[in-house]
Amino acid sequence: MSQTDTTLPRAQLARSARAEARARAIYRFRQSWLSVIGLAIAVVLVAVALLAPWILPYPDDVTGAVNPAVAFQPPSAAHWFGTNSVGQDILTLVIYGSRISLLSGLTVIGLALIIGGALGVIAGWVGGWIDEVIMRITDLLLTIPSLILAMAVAAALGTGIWNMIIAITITWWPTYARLVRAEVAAKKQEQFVTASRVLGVGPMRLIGRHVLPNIVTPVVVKASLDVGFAILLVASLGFVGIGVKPPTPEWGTMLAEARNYMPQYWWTAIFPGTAIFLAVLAFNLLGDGLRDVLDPRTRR
Amino acid sequence: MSTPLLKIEGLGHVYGARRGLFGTSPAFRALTGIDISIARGESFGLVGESGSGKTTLTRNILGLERPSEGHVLFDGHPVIDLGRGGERRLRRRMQIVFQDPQASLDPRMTIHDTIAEALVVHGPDLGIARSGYTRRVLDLLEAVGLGREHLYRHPHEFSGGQRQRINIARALAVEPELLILDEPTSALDVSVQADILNLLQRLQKELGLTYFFISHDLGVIRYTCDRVAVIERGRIVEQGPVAEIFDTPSQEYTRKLMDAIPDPDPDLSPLRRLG
Repeated sequence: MSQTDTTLPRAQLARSARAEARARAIYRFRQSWLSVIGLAIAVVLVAVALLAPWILPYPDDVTGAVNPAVAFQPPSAAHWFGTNSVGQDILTLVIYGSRISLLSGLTVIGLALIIGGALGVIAGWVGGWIDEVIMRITDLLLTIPSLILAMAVAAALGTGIWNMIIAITITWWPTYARLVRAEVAAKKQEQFVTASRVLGVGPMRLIGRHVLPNIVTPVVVKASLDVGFAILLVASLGFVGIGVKPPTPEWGTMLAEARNYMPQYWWTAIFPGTAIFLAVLAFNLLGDGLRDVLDPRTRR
Repeated sequence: MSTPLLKIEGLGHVYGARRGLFGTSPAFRALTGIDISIARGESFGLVGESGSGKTTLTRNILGLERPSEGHVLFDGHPVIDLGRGGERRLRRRMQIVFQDPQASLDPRMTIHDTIAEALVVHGPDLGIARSGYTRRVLDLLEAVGLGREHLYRHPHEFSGGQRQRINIARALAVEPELLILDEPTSALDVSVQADILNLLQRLQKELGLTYFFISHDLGVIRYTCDRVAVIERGRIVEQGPVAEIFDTPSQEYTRKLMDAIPDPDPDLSPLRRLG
């Protein structure tokens, strides 16, 4: 800012500073082409999932229509990804499967973040016996493997996408509670928090304005990486047959079925497998890119 | 004589014993029988080594810790158990500038928001409306030698000296009467230290502030303070006017501290004498 413009109104000053910060963040993100690729794949996946009802080449296949006449067609102009054992179009199933995977992946992480984040803030800020109680429950839940709990829930309540999401969330939120608690407990001791406290700032504002913004980076990075892993877990559950109920197409389930027809009908496995791979990769790269953008102190 | 602005009587602080998995850690006595009285408008220095209890003392003065013995009176009233409103009133009258200028600024907040936070909390008491915050922040920045171009920057864009000016501006935002200066210059370059000390002296004169100046640097204390207390392992070992203490220190400990002051003449500096 030059020295002459001493009459600039506040709003204008604020906007230019903010715009500058945003421009810098975008620049930092674009510096790493891997994270741009991650973002691009993630955006495509989300767009495909949202637009699925309008872009499915064979919408009937999603609801379980069978076409034995065209079973095991290799990839062609009519069926880009080929067809499976009952003649369903694999491209259609993969596109629709993105809805299931993304929906469950994002929901699991969203719920885990809300539950784990809230409990982590309470434990880290309040401390004392409340901290002890919350963290012991957390430790306890961390001992249960997601896959086993999901199996138990499936056995008790039946298979289904929501039962699966609940089961995964139960085993996932403790990791957020731990991370957030550790971060909050550390930031609480920071001198700038003490300085604000001495200034008379109340606890809600201290947490909301000083503590949380300063722990966003590790939490968002973890969440972004975790969406990939959650998608992988959903596919794993589908693969072992306790995830989403057929005929709803799901990548893991498709892969499990394709196993029987390898290697001659390779396209039945390659395409859902690639979809899983791309989704997990995209969120991993995105997480790395976000780390660079969100931390203004990171210097390359 | 009028009520002293800050009166500390028989203050003692013991950090409680903790029971852990591997036995009990013993209680630690940080402060014993501290008596200090600071008059309005005075600069009072506190000298001591690291670990002598200076930080615990400031936390007690600020009401962030509950004293184990004795009490801290600010303008005749205790600084703890005030309730929400009482605490806010106290915060307005007593502020602190910490040693580490970087750690005491929120890295994610602009300078404007950092200083304006004081106004968000105390605006009504100070008679400043929301629309007047930026004007007031700018006035404060100018008072400490910064300007309009710094308003919307983040702390990492400043030098150590500038950051300390920002901390001072924030502390002054609430128009305090007592300013605790906890080693305000010891994290800074020598050349910058003098600037900050001069700024503090000018502000004191202009605003009629009372300073409680903590330092391990006797040169700084001599330059800025009227009276001084020497603290050693949680006890005040000597207290009096600066000239008196510096010219005729009665305690061995004080003499040792004084011998440690580097002389501007390199041949006379303690480091050289050691060699």
